[in-house]
Amino acid sequence: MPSLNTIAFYLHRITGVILAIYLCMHLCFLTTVKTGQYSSLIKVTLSKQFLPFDLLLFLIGIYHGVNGIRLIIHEFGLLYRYRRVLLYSTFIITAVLWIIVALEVIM
Amino acid sequence: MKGLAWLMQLLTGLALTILVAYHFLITHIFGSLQLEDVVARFHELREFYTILLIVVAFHAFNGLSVIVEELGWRKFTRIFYAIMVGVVAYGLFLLMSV
Repeated sequence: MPSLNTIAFYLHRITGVILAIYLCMHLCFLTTVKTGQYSSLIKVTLSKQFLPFDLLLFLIGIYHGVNGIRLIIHEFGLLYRYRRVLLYSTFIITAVLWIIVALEVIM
Repeated sequence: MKGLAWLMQLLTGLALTILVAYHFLITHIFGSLQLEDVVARFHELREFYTILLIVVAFHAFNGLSVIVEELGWRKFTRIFYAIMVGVVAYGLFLLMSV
């Protein structure tokens, strides 16, 4: 069974790759602003069927950001004594932020 | 990851937490994704989106090149820097031409 630290490490890598791919897709999507298909496509991406993908993207982005801040704190040699607390806090803060964002987007 | 690339990855990561949070707020909370709003943001926040584009492209593709390097495929790392330049150039073209 891998440690929570190892899981956090691989999750950071996996979410980073997904976000990099999303960045390219996002730019391709924005091309439709220029080509005139944006209004019809945005209706599809704002539909209820697309909501789970949006929520998943927010979860991935929030985790990558919160865990990234934890990594930066440790890279600068700060709070290393509390690394286990920070590791657990990363998952808790991610969950709380994701719930807030999800509720804002859904409502 | 060592030296300047490492430091830049940390700094761009920190900057992105603020830039992406602001982007999310103005697109999903205080603004909308309707065409008129998107075009207006392209015009009114051109400097902000130029900075966001450069910072996010660097962070993304520098990060990917690090992953590839750690996997032992060192000769492929430069590909990601080339893609980064292409993404920034295309993004700037979109920003300036809409």
